[in-house]
Amino acid sequence: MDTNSCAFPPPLTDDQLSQVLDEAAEGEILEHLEGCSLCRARLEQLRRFDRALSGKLRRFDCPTAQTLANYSLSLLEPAEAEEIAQHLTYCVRCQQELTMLEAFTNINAATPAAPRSVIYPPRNVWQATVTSTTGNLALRGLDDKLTQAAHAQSATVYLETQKVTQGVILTGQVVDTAVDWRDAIIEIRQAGEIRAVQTLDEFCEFQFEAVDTSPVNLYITAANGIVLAVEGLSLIN
Amino acid sequence: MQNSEELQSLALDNLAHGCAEETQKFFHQNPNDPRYCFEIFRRAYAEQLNDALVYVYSIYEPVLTRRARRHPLFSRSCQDDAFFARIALANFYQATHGHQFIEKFSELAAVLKYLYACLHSAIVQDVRANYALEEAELDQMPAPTLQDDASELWQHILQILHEPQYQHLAYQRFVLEMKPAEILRAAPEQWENEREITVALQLIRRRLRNDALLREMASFEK
Repeated sequence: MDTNSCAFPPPLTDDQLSQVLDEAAEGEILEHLEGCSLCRARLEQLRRFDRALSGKLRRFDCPTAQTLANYSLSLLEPAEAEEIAQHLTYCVRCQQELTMLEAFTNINAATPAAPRSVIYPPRNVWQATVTSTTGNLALRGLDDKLTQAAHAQSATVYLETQKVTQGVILTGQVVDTAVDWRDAIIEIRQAGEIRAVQTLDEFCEFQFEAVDTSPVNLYITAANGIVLAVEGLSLIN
Repeated sequence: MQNSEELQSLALDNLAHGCAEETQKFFHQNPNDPRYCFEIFRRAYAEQLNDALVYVYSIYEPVLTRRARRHPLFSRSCQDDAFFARIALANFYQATHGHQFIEKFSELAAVLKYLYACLHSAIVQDVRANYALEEAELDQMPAPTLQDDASELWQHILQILHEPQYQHLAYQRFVLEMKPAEILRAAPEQWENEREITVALQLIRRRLRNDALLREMASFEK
C-alpha cells in the first residue's frame, strides 16, 4: 500500500482530524482513517502534539487532593480558601472530586467495592532487600548483636538488634539521598500485629523494644507518599 | 457510660477495648458511644502517646483498608488498599498532631470525616499521577513537568490565543482534558452544539501548531 498518498482522495482535512482527536468524528471519517495510512500518520502527528500539550499542562493549577479536602472541611486559612473557591468556579475536575469527596466522607454511607478494571504496577511502595552486615562478629564473641541493612531505591535502612534481658532492642536509621524521611511514620509489625507506631526523629532514627524474637515487618511512610517496606526482618542470628 | 474526665483517666487498654466494642456497634448500625475512640485519638495525636497510636492503627487501619476498596476511583489506582490506609494515616498524623488536633476536632465524627478525606485524597492523588504517567509512557515522553514550567507554558499559550472564549476552551481541552460533549454540558449557554466546539478547537490547534516554541516542545514537524 502506498503510504505517501491518500487511499481515498481527497485526504481528510485538519478539521476532520481535529474531530477525531476530540472523539467527535462520525463513521465516514473513521472508515477513511481505517483504510488510509497517510491520513492515519497525519492524525498520529497531530495527536502527538495534543498529548505533548496535555502532558505538560494537565491540571497544572489544580490544588492537591488533600488541599481540596481541607477546603471542603473548612480547614484552610481564609486566603487559601478564597483561592480554592475561585479555582472551583471554573475547574470541573476539582468540582467532580469535591462531589466524590463529600459522598465518600459521609461516615454512615456504605458503597459496594468496585472491581479493578486496570492493573498498574505499584509505584510508591519500595520493597527493601535485607542484607546482613554482621560479618564475623560472632567469632569475636559478639553473637548477641546483629547488624543488617535494607536497600530499596535510593534508601538504605541500617538496622541493629541487641539481645537484652527482656527481649531484643531494634534500632534503625534511614539514609537516603533523594527522599526526606524525617517525621515519617514507622509501623512495626510482628506476627501480623501492630506492635509499635512511631515517627522517625530528626536523624531518621527509631528504636523498638521487642518482647519476642519473631520476624519483624517495618512500613515507613514518608510525607511525600512513599512507603518503604522491610519485611521478614530477623531479630536474631 | 462515663463522663469525659473519667474517660481521660481510664487505662489505655480499657479505652481500646471500649473503642473496639463501640466501633463494632457502629458498623452493625447499633447505638454506640463514640467517646472511647475519640479519647484514644486525642491521646495519640494531641498528647502524641505512641501506645495510643498503636491502638489507632490497630483499630482503624483495617477500617480504612476496607473503605479504600469502596472508593469509586480505587479500581483505577495502582496501589493496594493497605498502602492507601497507611498514606491516609500518615497524612492525618502530619496534619493533626499536637495542638492542631484540639483546634480541629471536638468529636469522633469530625475525626473520622477527616480521616476518610485523607484516604480519598491519597487515592485521588494516585489516580491523577497514574493518568499522567500512562500518557507519558504512550508517547515515550518525560513524566509530568513542574508546576512552574506548566504555568510558563500556559502564559505563552494565552499570548497566542487572545480571545477569552478561546483561552477558556483551550483550558478545558488541554488542562482539564474535557471532550466537546462534556464542554457543552458544562456551559450549554455558551455553545450551540458540539460541532461549534470542535470547529473552535480546530482553529485553536492550528494557531498553536503555528507557534515555533510549541512545535519544538512537541517535536512537531509542520
